[in-house]
Amino acid sequence: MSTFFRGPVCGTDNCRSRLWRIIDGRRTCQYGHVMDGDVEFNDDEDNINSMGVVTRRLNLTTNATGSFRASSQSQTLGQSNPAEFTKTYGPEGDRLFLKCFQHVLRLQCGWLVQHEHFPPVFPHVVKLLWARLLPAVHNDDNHAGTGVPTATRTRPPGRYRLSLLSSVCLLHMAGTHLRLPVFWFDYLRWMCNLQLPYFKAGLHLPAVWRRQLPNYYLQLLEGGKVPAEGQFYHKLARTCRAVQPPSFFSRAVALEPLLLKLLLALRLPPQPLFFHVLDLVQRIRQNTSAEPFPGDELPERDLLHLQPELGAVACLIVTLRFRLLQGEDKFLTRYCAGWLLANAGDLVTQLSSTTSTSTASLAATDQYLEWLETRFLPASTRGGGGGGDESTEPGSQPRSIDQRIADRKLHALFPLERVGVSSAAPAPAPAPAPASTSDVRDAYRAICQDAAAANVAGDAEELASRVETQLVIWTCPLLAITEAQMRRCIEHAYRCAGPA
Amino acid sequence: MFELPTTLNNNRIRTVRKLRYQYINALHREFGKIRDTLSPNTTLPTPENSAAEEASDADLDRDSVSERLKRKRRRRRLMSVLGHAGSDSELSDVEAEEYSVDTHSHQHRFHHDSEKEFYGRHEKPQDTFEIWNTSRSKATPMDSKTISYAECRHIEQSAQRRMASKNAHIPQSAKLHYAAMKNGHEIFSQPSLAYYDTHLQRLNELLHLNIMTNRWESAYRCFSILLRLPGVDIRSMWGAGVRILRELSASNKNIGTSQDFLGWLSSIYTSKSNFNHSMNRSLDPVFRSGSKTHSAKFVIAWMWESLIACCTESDSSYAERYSKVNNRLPALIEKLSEMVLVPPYMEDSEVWFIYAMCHLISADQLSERFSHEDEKSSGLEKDIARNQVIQHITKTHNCIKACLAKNDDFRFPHRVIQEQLASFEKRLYHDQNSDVFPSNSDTTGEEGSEILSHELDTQEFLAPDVSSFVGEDDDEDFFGRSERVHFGFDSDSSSS
Repeated sequence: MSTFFRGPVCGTDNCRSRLWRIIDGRRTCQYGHVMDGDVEFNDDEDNINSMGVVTRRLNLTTNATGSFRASSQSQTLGQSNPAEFTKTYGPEGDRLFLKCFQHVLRLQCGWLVQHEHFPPVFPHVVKLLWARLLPAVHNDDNHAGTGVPTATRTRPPGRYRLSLLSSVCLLHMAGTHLRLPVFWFDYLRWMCNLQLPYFKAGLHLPAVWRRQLPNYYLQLLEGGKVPAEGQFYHKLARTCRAVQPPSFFSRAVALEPLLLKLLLALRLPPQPLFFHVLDLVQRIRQNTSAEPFPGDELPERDLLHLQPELGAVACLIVTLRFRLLQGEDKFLTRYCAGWLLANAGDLVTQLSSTTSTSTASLAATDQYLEWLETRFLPASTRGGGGGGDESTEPGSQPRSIDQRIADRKLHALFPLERVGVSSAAPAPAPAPAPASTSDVRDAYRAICQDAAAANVAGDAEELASRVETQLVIWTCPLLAITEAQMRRCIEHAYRCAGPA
Repeated sequence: MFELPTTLNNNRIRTVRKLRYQYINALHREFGKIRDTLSPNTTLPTPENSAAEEASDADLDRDSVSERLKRKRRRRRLMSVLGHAGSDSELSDVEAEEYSVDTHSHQHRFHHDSEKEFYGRHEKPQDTFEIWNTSRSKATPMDSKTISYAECRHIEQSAQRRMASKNAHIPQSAKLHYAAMKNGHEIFSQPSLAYYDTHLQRLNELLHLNIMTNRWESAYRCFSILLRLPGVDIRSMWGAGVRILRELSASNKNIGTSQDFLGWLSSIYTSKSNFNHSMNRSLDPVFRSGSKTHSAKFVIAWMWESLIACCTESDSSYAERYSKVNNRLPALIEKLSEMVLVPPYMEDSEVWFIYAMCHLISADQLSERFSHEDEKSSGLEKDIARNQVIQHITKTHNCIKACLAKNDDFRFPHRVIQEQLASFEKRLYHDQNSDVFPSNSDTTGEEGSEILSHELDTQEFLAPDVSSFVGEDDDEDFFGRSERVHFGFDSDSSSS
């Protein structure tokens, strides 16, 4: 630094120095006098590139949590992502969507085989169906594109008319073919419990795909709302038509297990009802001579009763009413009086489709919070905030290390109460399956106790109608259809059963 | 039922907001054309505004508004006779006019933000959200000049025309929202029924209901789940979190304290970041964050909490009291002294007040210790201790002076604090002038002084009503005496 150079005599306070140097851009003499009005600018154009060495300042500051962090500019320059915009559109995007859809389908099959002990052949059947659906989807697309251009313009995102519900339809069809005793309400329960990959299925996709997939397709894979208005059956009919299953394809829904499951789910006594309902279903089929399998040529609306599942439910309700009106079976009357006091149905499935809370009791709240902690939270924070992995939150930027540290500190302030438990046993008891036998037994026992105490002196007709109303209220969330739709099905069943 | 703590941001909201400001600006411009002769300088003389005004002035100089309208109408009729579509010419007319104005002012119009233009004319919301001018002296007379209904409609229509020409290609939903907003309706957005949102809403409701019914355990569970969910903004619900922690942290050692939480908030969401209009438009700035002009509420809350924690902790036991004096309060004082150097806190009288309170409390504690250790210590130590107390007292005076100088309606019992300070000083000298202050004469015994200390403790200033009822002249007397004592002893101690 001691690079003095000669200059004029300083002269301040008779200073005799001729030697100057530059300190902080000011010309200062040997004895420390600053020359007036002399400021030196460094306006040489330093050619940085020619100097060979590029220095970059790392602005290390301490952040909130006390650790060092690089200030955003200097650090992000280095790791700037080369392609800012990674979405793929057009045919490529469509292809990617199909790929993603397939991936979700495979995940669903995998889960079913692994956790619900579906036969290993199940994925193959689903694959077959998917393979048959694909060309139909493409043709549909092309037809719509050429023939009816307006139709495509109204709904551009659902270009393929595929939604996650289609995947469940495929699963359902495959299950029907294999005559598995699994029905729509089972799938619905698994969906709402976030066991079957359905809601937020996008989170299960590989990060690369998710980054590339256009947003409208990502939205499709979000799952949206619970299909609580019978969308499933409409979708099923449409998918069936598109797939056009081959002749060897089994089309009959396994009625007996369906009925048994329904009765058990509704906590109704199987013994006095089962065969009567079966009888009624057969009779209606003869009367209407409808195709038993979900509709080859099912029109769009109002014909939900042709769906065998819904038909069976309607028959069940009608049968119960008839039996109650007959009044022959004293046990049934007594039981139903008790049954009216009990409660059935899966909590989460009910809560997923409605928005009212305030009536939730204390016990239900605890149960619900438990579910949120064990199921909902891990499922919805999947991929994001996990810490180890680079965040793949849709729509948001990957979180910086600072944000993750801050989050970790926050979470340390608010630990989940059950954190220790869940980490000790990664797979806690499988979600309270409502079919766990002891639960069902207890429920039945409770109802029987109520029934013993119940007063059965009342009017049979009143009891019947009350039971019917209650049944409608409970079956609607179970099957994810509206009450009006359910009523229509029941009316149809009455009409068909009438003449016989 | 309760507001969701999420940030809602989608394309439609953005578009509608943009349209709103465009419309307001267009209205303003049209209104300016009519009213320009009446009130020439409504806006600040930025180059942009002056250019716009020049253009409109030039128009207005030539003819009045009605003249111009008439001329325009005549021209339109002519055009229609000639075979041009009426609306077309009209549009092009408006556009051309606007374009000329814009090319004057802006060479590049790509990033012209109509919202910025709007806020350029107005005070920013973070400047206004706490301004309540209650004093009559500040009131300004209303602008009572009226415009006729026809004029108003004309303004609206021409603004609308401008907008329509600019925004031919906005989506239908945005258009509907904009139309409703223009007519003064508010759009009730249905809560989302999507699966994820349903559960989020329910969880949020459960949180609030549980807080309302004081079921803190459940509320804690709700909160701890809620803050882990993606998309939830902790700043919208920190109040609930603080309350829950305050209830539970005493019993449950695993969870953090409310102080920690507030500290976390204050360190993560600093007020140094700019308040960004274009990002945070739908959010209320008041409780969410600080800005360069307003300190964040959680920072203030944090200061209060830690101050109270300092007091209560040192009150816990008699023996601990002396050991803890040097522990947390000086740290807080140091923190505050750093805080009041930077803008948002520098201007906040509440922060200054907290700062003053810190000094007051430490003066209290030190003076009390002094009165206890009176016999043991030597003369020099005594002087040092006395100096410390005096220092704190003067600092309290300074802080309160700064607080009062801020002049933003922050009220506190000034007199009570003065009395407190005076009594602390009296403690230092009670053995010398015990006859002057008979109330302190018996404090040589430990018991008495402890009781006294509790009486004189910081709770006292929380009851301001008592002091305000004391006679005015009496207070003056006391005040004057305390001043005298203060200066006298100050000089005394410094000389010795």
